[in-house]
Amino acid sequence: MAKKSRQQRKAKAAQPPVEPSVNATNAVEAAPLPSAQATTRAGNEPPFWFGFAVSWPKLVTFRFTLLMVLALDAVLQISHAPRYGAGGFNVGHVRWLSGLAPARTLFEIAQLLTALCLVAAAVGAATRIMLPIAAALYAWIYFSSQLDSYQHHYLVALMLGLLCFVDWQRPADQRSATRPVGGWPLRLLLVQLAIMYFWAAISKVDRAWLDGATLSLQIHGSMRSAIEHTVGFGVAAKIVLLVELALAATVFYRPGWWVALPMGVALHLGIVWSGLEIGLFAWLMLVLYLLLVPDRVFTWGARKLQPLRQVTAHVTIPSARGWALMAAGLGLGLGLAAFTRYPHAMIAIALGGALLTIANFVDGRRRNHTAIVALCAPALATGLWLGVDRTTSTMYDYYRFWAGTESRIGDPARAKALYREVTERFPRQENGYYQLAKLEIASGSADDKQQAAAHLQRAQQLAPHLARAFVAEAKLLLSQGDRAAALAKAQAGAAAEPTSVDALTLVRQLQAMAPEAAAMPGAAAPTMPGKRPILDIDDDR
Amino acid sequence: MIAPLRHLRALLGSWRGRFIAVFVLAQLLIPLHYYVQHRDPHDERFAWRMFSPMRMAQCSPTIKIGETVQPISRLFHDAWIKIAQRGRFEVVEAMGAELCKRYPGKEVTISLDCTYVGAPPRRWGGYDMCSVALLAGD
Repeated sequence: MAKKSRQQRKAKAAQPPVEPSVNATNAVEAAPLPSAQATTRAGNEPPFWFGFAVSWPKLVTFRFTLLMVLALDAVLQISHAPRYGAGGFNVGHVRWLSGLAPARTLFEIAQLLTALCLVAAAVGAATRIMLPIAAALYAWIYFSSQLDSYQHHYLVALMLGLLCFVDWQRPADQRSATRPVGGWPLRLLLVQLAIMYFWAAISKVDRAWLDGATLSLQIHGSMRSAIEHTVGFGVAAKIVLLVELALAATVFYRPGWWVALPMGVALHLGIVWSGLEIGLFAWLMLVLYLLLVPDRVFTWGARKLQPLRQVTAHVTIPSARGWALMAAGLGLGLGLAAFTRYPHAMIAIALGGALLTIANFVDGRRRNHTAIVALCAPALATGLWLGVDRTTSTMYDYYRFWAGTESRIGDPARAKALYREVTERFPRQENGYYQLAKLEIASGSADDKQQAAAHLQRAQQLAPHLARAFVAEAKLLLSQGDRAAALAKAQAGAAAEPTSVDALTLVRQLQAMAPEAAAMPGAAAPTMPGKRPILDIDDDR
Repeated sequence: MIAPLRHLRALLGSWRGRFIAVFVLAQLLIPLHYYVQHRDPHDERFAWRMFSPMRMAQCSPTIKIGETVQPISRLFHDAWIKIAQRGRFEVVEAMGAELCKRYPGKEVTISLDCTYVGAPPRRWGGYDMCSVALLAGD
């Protein structure tokens, strides 16, 4: 009896893991078992790897969500472009790639192009070609410079490489909602996650982590007080370690998903809540957990969306007649790109459009119909570029960082021109006027100083709660010999920002000065004992 | 043949299986490198040491060219300075090499004073990087 039971268990174990919901939702529509596919296709290949499959609706939801998040992340990276190539210095993650790292312009174009390729792949436009291009661009940008040291970007580079091996082709038959697809690359992706959690847990087997000291330095805001008033950081640190170990043991194996899904989602929502500045890491991880959601959720959703599917069936067109639409999508993409403030958006859309056209041509030869949305990929991608440009500080940061870089380690004249551009492009931002005024004061000419005063006054209007522009103007007035006006300005600064040490100190110093001491324009900067010269402006905020 | 070996043999029977084996092995071994043979304790890249205690290390790099201490912010971009402040040897050493090129014939002394969570502070370097290109503890 025991032997028979053992044999039954063995026989069951020999079957590859099959998501019950895929087959159980509708017996009539039940697809061929993944095991059948595995044995017919690959003989005795291990079913753990080659029998793994998910439903098409799950795969396509995963693809769209993941690649769109990554596309968004790529566009958001553009604010960091000015650091690439600055000062002619670079160290690559991979040494031999150091010399091949992109500089500012190339970085911007490469990120826009990566986003375009990812959007195209997300909506199914020549995915099998566009995804490898995106993966290659991503790997090049990441591995060629340590300026990007996000560990999750390393994970993304690996993940995109693996996803290139997934067969993204929609099953041709009518039962596509329940037919298992995907395969070993998805299993390998989950195993990769398990390995990552395992090593992350190992790194925390350290007294400095276990006593809560490290965690308490990393958590801020409401989560900090929540931990302090409940379990304390020592216990919370141990819980994090245990959760990571549990995820390492469960995330890659279907029966473990019931544990891994709620635990992983809670962990990464906790990271979102903690306010750690780690880009889109937590969101990326949450998207990866879509793979762990039971297939029946997606097949149920696909059935509910069946009427929509019938509509979309009408908006697919024969590929042979897709050229007109593709041209329209490209035209719309060019139009949207023209409205963005990325300096090289037109080059990026021209390159991306050409790539996508070639990819659609190559890929379209093996398919009969193409969804209209896929033909509109350039327009969707540039819509994303425009959305990021207009709703985030990405482009403001780009110009601000660029000007700041030139000001510190580049050409001051160029920096001045760039700050002027910042004030023209972003006239509501105080920082551009303030930094421009600083450079104008430093240049020393009377004309520049006059302009600096106007720029500082504009900065004061735009940020009436900040003292720095008031302080800078007070120092300028003092350098021109007008102590009374300088004192009034410094007092206005102290009133604007009562906690400003610079403003309060300047007020005290000016009050202590004899009026005749500052009456000579261009006189040497007066100082108080033990203080730095009053005329120094050293505020890079 | 015992089951795991049979599994492995079956896995290695195709290019896809061999790819999987190499990938998994690499992902298990690359992080191990940090624990068994690392010169730079601050360099946690590729080791999946997210939020680790070492990530909280704070270093203060000081650069002297000849006898003069140079403000590092006038030599390198802020982003590189932040990486140096995390103590990454590879970047600090590359900074040293770059300065040796920019100022031929001069001594370029870089020291890195680091503080750690749960460990005593340490000083790294403090000698002419043009003569000894690699950082080491005192």
